Amino acid sequence: MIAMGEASRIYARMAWLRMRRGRVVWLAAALFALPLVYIAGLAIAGHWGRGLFDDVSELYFRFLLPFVPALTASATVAEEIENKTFTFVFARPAPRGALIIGKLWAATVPAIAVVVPSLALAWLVAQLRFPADMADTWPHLLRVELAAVAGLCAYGALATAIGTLFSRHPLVAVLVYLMLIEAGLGSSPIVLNLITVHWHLRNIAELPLPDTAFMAFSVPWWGSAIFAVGVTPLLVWLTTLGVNGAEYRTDR
Amino acid sequence: MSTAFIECEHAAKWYGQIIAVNDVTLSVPGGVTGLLGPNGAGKSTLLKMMVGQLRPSKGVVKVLGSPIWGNPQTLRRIGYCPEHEGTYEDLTGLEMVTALTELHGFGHDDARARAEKMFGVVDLKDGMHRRLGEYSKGMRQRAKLAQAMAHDPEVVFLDEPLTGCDPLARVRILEVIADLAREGRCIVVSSHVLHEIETMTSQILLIHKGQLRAEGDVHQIRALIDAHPHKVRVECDKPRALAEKLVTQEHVVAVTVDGEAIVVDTRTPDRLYPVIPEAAKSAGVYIRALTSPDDNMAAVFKYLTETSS
Repeated sequence: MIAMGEASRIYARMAWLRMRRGRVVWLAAALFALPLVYIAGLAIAGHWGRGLFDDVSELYFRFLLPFVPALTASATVAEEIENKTFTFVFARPAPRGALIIGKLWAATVPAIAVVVPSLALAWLVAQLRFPADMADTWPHLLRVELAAVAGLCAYGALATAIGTLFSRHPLVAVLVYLMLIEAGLGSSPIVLNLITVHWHLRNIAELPLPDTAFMAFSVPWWGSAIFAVGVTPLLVWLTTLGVNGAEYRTDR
Repeated sequence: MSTAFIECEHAAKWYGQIIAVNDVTLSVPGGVTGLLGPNGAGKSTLLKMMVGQLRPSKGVVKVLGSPIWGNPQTLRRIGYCPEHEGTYEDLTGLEMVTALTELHGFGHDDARARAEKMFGVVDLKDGMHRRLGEYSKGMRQRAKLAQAMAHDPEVVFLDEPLTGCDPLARVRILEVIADLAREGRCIVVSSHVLHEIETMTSQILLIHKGQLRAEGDVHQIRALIDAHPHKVRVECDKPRALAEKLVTQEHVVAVTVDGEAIVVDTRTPDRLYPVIPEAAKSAGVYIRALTSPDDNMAAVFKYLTETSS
């Protein structure tokens, strides 16, 4: 059998070639350009410093980080099933999990390559008027960057897992999950918000957390980091388990 | 050691209450074997069990001596050309075949060289840099054939490889299949059109309602089919002109014009098929597709089922 890493690389290259020629990647790029417009607007309106950077971070953590991976990763396995192209790839001596890892890689790495410098640029613009504060605020930037990278991976894996389960309408299924669980539960004042990626990312990025009225828990930022980083391999493993034993039909 | 390339031992596949393949025991030697049956007979399901994409609900399916389900060592040695048209529309033919060949463990350059060679074999070298979304049905079939062969498999499974092909593509695909057989490989070709299978092999497996109804020589089936009228549908740009040419031929019982196609009734299809391209050429008609409707095959299977019961 061809090794997992090698097969993942081949799938990633195929996926990236196809994304580059499709519309989704341009839509994702346009969405990621949005914060730059937003920060320019806020700066012109006179907002500067940590406040400006947190406003931009909110745009990322509430909107871009969950929803862009939904666009790019929800159909990872689903499109193979619906277009029946799985018949080509599953007839090869390559681990099925490589399809998931490779496609997730293709969807996530370019997004990270855009978001990390984009956040750094936002921080630089925010600090332009207060260059002396840069030394004090860069650890905050690092935590925001960590949360953003972990978030892109986690939301990508989440979109892949849900999209594989609901292969007929993967994007709809992922959007429903994001609206109900991540946006709804993650922002609600109940202790269950701890199960959402959204809550942990905000905890890492030092963004305001919802007031929990009952059974409030305090989680250290590194605890949230372990959760946010660990959820990705867990979801990939679960998706791989599901795909490994699955028999997909082409006669439906 | 058995000389059979493929062995099914009481293989069955069911989905809930629906039995797709029912207690099939067979062995397939080298050369071309036709898997014949009407639409919905269970051919594709049986083929998918043979390529390891479906797990038998009961029994065993072995390819090259080993059970195929979950067996990457054996997957390395087989090639599969599925029936459906789905491909990676955004990739070029060459990119798709190269990537799929790399998944067999070949390096990128080696895989690309193999893919290019295969596009030459299937006579599609001119189109290999075009995106698959721009391919005609015949081009897709040839690209699918290329991906099934580029890694040099010992056993090749072709699911309805001639469906929707124009006459030129059919001829090329038939030549490729004959070459594969000459090289000593095992090729299993499924089809619901008897005449297609006849042009490739006399060795057939007949499937109906999920069961193996007959296996052996196609001439025995031919004798049965000749007792029934045979319909051939020809899609072309000038159906009336082609109908005028064909109606005078001695092998033609009747010709009906059906929109942009004609349906020819004959009792001797093997004699009719060579006549159609000649008639088209002399009438200046371009043939888009040549198919044999299912009705006739269904009639043969009905006959077979009645006689066996």
